[in-house]
Amino acid sequence: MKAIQRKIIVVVIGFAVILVVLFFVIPKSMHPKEPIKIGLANTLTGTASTAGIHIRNGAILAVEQANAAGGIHGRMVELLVRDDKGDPAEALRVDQELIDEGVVAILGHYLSTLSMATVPLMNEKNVLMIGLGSITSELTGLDDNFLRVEIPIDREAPMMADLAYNRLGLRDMVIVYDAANQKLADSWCSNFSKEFRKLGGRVSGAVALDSREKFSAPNLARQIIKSKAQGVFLVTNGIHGALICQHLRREGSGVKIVASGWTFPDTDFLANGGLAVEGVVSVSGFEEVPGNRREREFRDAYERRFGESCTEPAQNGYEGVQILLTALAITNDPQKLKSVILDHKIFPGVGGIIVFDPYGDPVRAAYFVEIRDRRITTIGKTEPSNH
Amino acid sequence: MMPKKLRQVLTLNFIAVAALPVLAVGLIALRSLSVSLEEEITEKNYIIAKSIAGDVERFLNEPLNLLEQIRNLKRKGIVSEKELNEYLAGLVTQYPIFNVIRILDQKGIVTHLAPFDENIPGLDMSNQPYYRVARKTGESHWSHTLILSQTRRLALTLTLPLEKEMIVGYLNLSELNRVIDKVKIGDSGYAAIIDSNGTIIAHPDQKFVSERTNVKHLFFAQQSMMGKERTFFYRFMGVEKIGSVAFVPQTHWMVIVTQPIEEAFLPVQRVRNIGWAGMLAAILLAGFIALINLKRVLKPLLRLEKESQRIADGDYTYEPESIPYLEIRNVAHSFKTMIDAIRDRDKELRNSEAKYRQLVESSRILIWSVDSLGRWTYLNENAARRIYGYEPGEMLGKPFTDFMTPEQAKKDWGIFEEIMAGKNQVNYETVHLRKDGTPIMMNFSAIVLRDEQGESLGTTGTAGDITERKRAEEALRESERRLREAQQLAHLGNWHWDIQTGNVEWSDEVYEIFRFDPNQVTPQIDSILTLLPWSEHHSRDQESIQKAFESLEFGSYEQESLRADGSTGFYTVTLQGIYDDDGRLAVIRGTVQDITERKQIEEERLSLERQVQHVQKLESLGVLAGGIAHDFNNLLMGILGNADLAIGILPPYSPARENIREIEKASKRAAELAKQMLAYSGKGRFIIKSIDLNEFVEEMAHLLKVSISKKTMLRYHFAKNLPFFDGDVTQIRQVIMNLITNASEAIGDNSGVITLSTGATHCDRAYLDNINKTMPADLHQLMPEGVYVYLEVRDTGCGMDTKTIEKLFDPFFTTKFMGRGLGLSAVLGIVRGHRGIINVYSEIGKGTTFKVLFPASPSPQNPTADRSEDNAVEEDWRGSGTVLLVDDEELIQHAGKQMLERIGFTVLTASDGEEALRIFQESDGDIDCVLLDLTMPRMSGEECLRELRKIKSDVRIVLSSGYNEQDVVRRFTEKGPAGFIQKPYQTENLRRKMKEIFSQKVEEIS
Repeated sequence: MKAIQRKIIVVVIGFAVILVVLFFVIPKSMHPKEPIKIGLANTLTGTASTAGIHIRNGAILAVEQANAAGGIHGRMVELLVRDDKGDPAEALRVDQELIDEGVVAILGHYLSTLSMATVPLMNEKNVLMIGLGSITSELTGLDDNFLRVEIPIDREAPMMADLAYNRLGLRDMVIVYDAANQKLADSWCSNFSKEFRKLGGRVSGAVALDSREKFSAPNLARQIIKSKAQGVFLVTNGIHGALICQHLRREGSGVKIVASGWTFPDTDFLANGGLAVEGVVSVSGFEEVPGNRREREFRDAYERRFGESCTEPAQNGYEGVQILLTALAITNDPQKLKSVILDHKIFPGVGGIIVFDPYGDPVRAAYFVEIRDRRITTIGKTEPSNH
Repeated sequence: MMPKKLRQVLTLNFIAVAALPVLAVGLIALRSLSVSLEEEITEKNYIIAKSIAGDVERFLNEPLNLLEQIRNLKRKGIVSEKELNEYLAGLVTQYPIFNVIRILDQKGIVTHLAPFDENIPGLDMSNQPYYRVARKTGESHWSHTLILSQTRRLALTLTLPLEKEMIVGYLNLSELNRVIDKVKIGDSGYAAIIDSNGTIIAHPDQKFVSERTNVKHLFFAQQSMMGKERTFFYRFMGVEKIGSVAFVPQTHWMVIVTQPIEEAFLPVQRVRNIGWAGMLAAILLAGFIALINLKRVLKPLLRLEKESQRIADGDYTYEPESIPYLEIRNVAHSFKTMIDAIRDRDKELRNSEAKYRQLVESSRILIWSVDSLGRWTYLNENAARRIYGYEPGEMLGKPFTDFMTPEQAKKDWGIFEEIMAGKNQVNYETVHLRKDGTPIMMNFSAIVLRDEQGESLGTTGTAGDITERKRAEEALRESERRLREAQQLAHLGNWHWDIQTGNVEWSDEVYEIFRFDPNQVTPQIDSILTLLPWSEHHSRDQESIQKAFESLEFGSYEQESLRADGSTGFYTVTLQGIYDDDGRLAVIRGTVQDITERKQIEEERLSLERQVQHVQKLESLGVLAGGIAHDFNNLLMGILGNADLAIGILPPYSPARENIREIEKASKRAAELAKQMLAYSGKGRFIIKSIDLNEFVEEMAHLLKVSISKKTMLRYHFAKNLPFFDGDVTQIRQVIMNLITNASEAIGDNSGVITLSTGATHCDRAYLDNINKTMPADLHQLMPEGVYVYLEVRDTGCGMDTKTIEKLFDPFFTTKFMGRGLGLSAVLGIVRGHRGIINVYSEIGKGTTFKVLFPASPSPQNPTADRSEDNAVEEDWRGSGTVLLVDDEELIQHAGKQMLERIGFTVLTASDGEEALRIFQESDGDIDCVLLDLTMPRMSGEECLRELRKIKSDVRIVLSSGYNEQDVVRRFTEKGPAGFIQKPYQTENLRRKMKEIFSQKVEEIS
């Protein structure tokens, strides 16, 4: 009898073990391969959060498309999103957090000041960072762990200067900048001034505002008018740029306005600019009307996914992820991602091919754009070259 | 197939019976309960979602109502344009839901706003999406949610178009969180609000709101955006969740009440757990009860099992206990009956076993068994002791291979392994060793022992000592072998014929004797008693056989039989009849011996005897002929010598010269006859030269022509490139002459043709033996194979019969009236002397062919160009000096003296060797030459020559004899004569010889 009892116990235990295995162990063992973690550190709240959210959405779309296609060599891609809140210290913190979580690379940051603060950490940790909005020229031509998808200021500035000088025929300009992003403003001012002067133009002055504080847009407008400059180069966010344009027009100024890559892409600029922003020109990496199937497919997918129109920051986020995933398809060694990207060199960006120079700065098509009839219209295009 | 254990079967069955219903009922109950609980939970969450949606609706209705209120006021003009900003400011202050309220004119220019910002009035907002939509639709418009730049907070615009103007309220949506914050669902459940783009606008975790997290990709969002309000299962942030969705009508926002599935259905899980636990408990209880009952049922059976074990151990005491179950009780009683029967049988078995054990133990045959390792496990005492000399105890446990030599052990181990591997009963012979080391030949019979599963446990069997039998067998085999050898040596076979059955047996030698193939011929009596093809033997053999049939007499006879291979053989057959008790002939047995060889030997012996007799006869004839020839020559010497002298004396015109010439001629013919006799006897003169037969015959052509009848034609066929052969010219000439003469005589007076052919042929053994067969036996010679030069003489004469041919070469045999019978004898003697062979073929009336073959010589020596005898001599040569003539014949002395004197010598004579010596000694060196006869009494010429040489070593000595030169000269091994002259000789011969002698230098003489 004891033998029988033992047998029963054995049977029961065996049954239980089977159940445990069936319901717990096997499912776990059948867990798919470890996902590839990539980090996205961007400004999701606070100043520039609109662009940051668009960048995030573009990145999410790229990751979801990659996972739907089976991931990278069977491994799913996991996007770890962190909000740098527009603060350099927070940026450093979230970057370290992402590194600790084992991301293979970090996409970010949007603001140049944050990139400036975090690139040294990337170099120290030997982690690749792909900038999705930082256009400061201080990071141009450096052999570091920083690559970016947007044309830096020092390469965009000649195009801006050319636009102002040759297309608009401006010879004398004044720069209006937001001191809240001093680094960016300085970078734009110096590069644009240098390039404009090279062409023979003159930057007669610079007018500052601080978006962190209350300011008088009419006074600013008068100040600009008083400079008698033929043109204004805006280095502000969208809403403040729109405000300045509105007040310039209200003051009766017909001064020509060239908007920087900070001002123009901001949706608030057009939305809040009314008729005052008609004729404003800029250089953009984003073609309003999709020029090819790839662009159309991307924008349609973005609108379906997020219910809103695609923007340049969204495009940047999307392209940044695609470039990283292309490199991950070649190597799974995070240490080699940068060399793979630089060796690969040419990537089919949504907004045109992206060619990386040996330092990771992009050379890509740029579009001359103008607001006409309450819409952004492409009025010219430059092909990639080493500007 | 292995039987199953009752315990297991019953246990499983009981458990199954107990468990299955419980399981079935439990599962069904659980399922239905789970479903209803789940429905209840989902319904509850949905109700909550609906409630929240209602709250949101009310939340949104408030600003709408306020804007409508503003509109109404404007329409009614209750609030003036100037007061409007203040009014708006009051509203904004009073209703925190508003961030900003603006009033735009029909161009979209900001006319009024609150809170006031100096930068805003007059601004063109015509590009704002809310303006364009509201202007287009003319209806109130709720914008998408957005982050307001001024406040960095979530907001939306509510646009209320007026006739020309537009009221735009920027709503602060952070208040939405108040709506959902009061919702508490379980520990982890919450409510959230998602706008129509799928962006989270209210969430307990503000991060989702501030980061504008979009969940449009989630299943529930996709389904909800299609207008479906229901409960969904989805996965968010790695957690499986259940969410119930309700819509906010104005904005088509989704209110979702969500909860982790695990938490949501915790009650269900609890119920399930309880249910499973209950089922398990029920099963265990059922199992327990089943086991208890099983125990009760099996207990008596197990007892029976134990009892059976005890019985198996030999204890047959058993009394069935009280058993509650009838069937098992009956089994127990039957068991008791069975035990009693087993006990009785066991007792009988023991008695039987003891009896057989005694039988086995006392058996002389070894009964044995070994285990799987070859170790003795059983040996019957008596046999083991007797055969091995060991006590069984000394052998048990040891490997059987210990009791044999290592080589035998290896073989036997192989056999053992075969048996263990499954080979059927094996009988084999082996050699073991006794305790004292002497070998025992044994015959083992072994089979494998297996257990119930068929595994080999070892082997067992019997064995016997066959040493003596083996020895007897060996002795018998040896005896048979010797008998067989004896029969083989004696060519003797024995046979045995069973009259009754007709069966015949015979020994192997019989096959050999009759050259039968053992594979094709079966013993039959006719093969032994085969009647011959020669009828003359029938009666004799039948008589012998009949005697054997009729009596006990032993019969024998010789017979010549045909063998199976077609040859004939001679046999001696013996036979004897064996009769049974009734006097009937039962068996005839006998022997047959091959005496063919013996017969052959006897024949050969008789033939040889005949040959020897014939040769002896011929030899004696030869000796006779030689002696007669020698004496004849001496006599002829006297006749020819005197005739020659007389011719020298008579004047040329004397009529007596003719007579003396006739005397010379006759004497010369007589000398030729003597030569022939000498030739026959083998004592003819031999001077060997290389002879070209063609040339030789050609030179004789004239001589041959005159030797034959004029009616006979002579033809020649000469072969070209004929090799030379060595021969004596004179004798070869004689051969040719004799053959031609015979051929001519065979043709006689008729017309005929004699054909001379020459040629060369290679004679092999068969050809030579064949020629020998055709010749009389005494003429056989063992001729070597090789190239032979032949001369063929064919005539068209009368031919000869066989009898004549047989005697053809006998001396003095002749068919001619005037024949002397020596010609062909001489030919034969000459041919044999030349190591040649002669062949005769003749047919009566057709002619005869003689073929003489001489072995070819390798190269010509002493070509026959030199014919010294025919050379001319200077008749004028005269000698000087003194010659001593020694001969026992007075005639020869007289004639010889005169010849020498005629030549010019002074001649002294002596009659024998002694006299010659005396005279020579007394001459004191004056004798210049000695003409010495060979055959003399008292001292022979040979002896005299030696003595003369002693006196004067360089004395010229010329020997003369009736024998040939070679026979004479070969007697002298030391210094021989200076020359030789054949008797009979004439003056010219003598002159020539003396000239030759005296021309030699002194040193050449000796």
